[in-house]
Amino acid sequence: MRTILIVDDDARFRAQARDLLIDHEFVVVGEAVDGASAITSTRSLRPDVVLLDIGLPDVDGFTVAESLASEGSPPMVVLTSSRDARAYGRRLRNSHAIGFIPKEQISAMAMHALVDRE
Amino acid sequence: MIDLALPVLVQNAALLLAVAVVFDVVSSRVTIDRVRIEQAISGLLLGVIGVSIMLSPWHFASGIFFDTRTVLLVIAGLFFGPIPTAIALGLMIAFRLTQPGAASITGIAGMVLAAGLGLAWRHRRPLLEELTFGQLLLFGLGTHVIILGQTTLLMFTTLPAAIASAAVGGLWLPLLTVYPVATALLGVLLVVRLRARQLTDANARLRAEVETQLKEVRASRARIVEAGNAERRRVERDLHDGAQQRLISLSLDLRVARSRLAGAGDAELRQSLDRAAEEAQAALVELRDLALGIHPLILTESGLGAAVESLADRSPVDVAVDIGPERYPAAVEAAAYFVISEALANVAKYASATMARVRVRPFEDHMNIEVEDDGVGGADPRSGSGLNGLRDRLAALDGTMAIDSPSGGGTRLFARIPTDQPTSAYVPTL
Repeated sequence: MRTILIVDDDARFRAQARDLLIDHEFVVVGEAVDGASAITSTRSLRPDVVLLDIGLPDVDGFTVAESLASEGSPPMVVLTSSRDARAYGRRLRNSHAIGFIPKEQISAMAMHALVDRE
Repeated sequence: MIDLALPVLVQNAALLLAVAVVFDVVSSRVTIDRVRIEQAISGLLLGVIGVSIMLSPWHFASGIFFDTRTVLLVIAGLFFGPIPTAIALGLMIAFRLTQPGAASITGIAGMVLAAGLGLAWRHRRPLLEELTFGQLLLFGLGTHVIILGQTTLLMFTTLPAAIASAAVGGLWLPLLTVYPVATALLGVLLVVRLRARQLTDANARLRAEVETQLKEVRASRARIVEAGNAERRRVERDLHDGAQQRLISLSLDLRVARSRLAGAGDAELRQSLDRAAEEAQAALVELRDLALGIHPLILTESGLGAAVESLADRSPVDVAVDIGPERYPAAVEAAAYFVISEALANVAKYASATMARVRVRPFEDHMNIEVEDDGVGGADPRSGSGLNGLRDRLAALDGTMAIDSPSGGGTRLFARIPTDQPTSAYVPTL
């Protein structure tokens, strides 16, 4: 069983992602709406995976991923965005995330592909 | 009269010509501060010329001298104005007073009258630069008729009648022929100079105006380019915040519905849900391509290097990117990005190349861009490729572009964009 925290300011997206991610192995343990609450929720919930939107209202996802990476036993971070990877280029490659899934392609299968190879 | 002869005339003519030189040297650059000093200097110079003229006289009889001083003073009054004329007149009168001679009163009165007549005409404010030879000749004749009249009167009242009569007898012909002609000639010379000077001034003003306008045009052109770029950034953001978000939501809804259905429901419904999700996905891809073509977010967020690397990632040809981390004005980065993007698209389409290299370097006050490939070459820079549109885009920033594409020798594109753009503020978006 792997636990997931979903971070996005759009409640509708969080609900959709929750629906699409839950399967026999993944369980969504919490949701956060911005970078600050993502960090506190990660500390309290200790999820295995954080699905992190890049375009957050307070700080961008890259910065949040960097903060999370410095935590003790950091979670795996998967970045997501309504833009595709071309919009971020080397920032994605240099980020502390294990991968990137464009929002519309979020699914348990896509998540497995990233998480299982770690 | 015979004694007047050539040497004296030539000497007088030469001295009168010196007036033109004074006219040229002084007051060629008239600014308020300089005016008084220049008037004083020209007055002194005119005085020196006047005294020199008086030193080359036709000696008519004991104490009676004639020379072209009246021509000088008439012209001085007309063209130089009151202050220089008064100074010159003062110097000449002072000199005349040091000379012996019976006719000093007559001489001085003649000088004062000449200067006065010149100034009087100036006072009527004729447009000096429009005076014609005929007008000046008439003026010269008129003034010398008056001077002759006064001189005759004074001579007969101050000198013995025989001497006066002889003097006037010898004087009237040159005074009414040579002197008016000399006045007119010298006047025309000065009119020509005046016109030339006005032309020069007008030219300088025009050049200054043109330079100002050019600067304004450049600034406004840069503002237009910047406004265009800002508009592109805004459209990209609007597409992202609007249609793109809705399509993503729609796409996710369809997939949620499809996953809830799993193996249940009728097969046709499942199929049409799958098709709808694919359609939404395809629309999203097209929309993203469009947004990327309008303005790539990565350019504003991460700079030219990252944006070009992203282009290189997508290119079917192997592209080596050599771009430093420097940031440039947004308009410069945008122009550079689209030039490189178009160049790489051309490499992929036409060059049959195995590899390409993109190099961007700041150099002094501009950015140098170089895109080269190892393809077949022979690219015609004037052909209808998208490069012509880019030429305009570059020109709007005073940038230039050159293409070297020998047949069989690969293609090299060079572009150069000034980085000190009039509106050069780097404005991060989002």
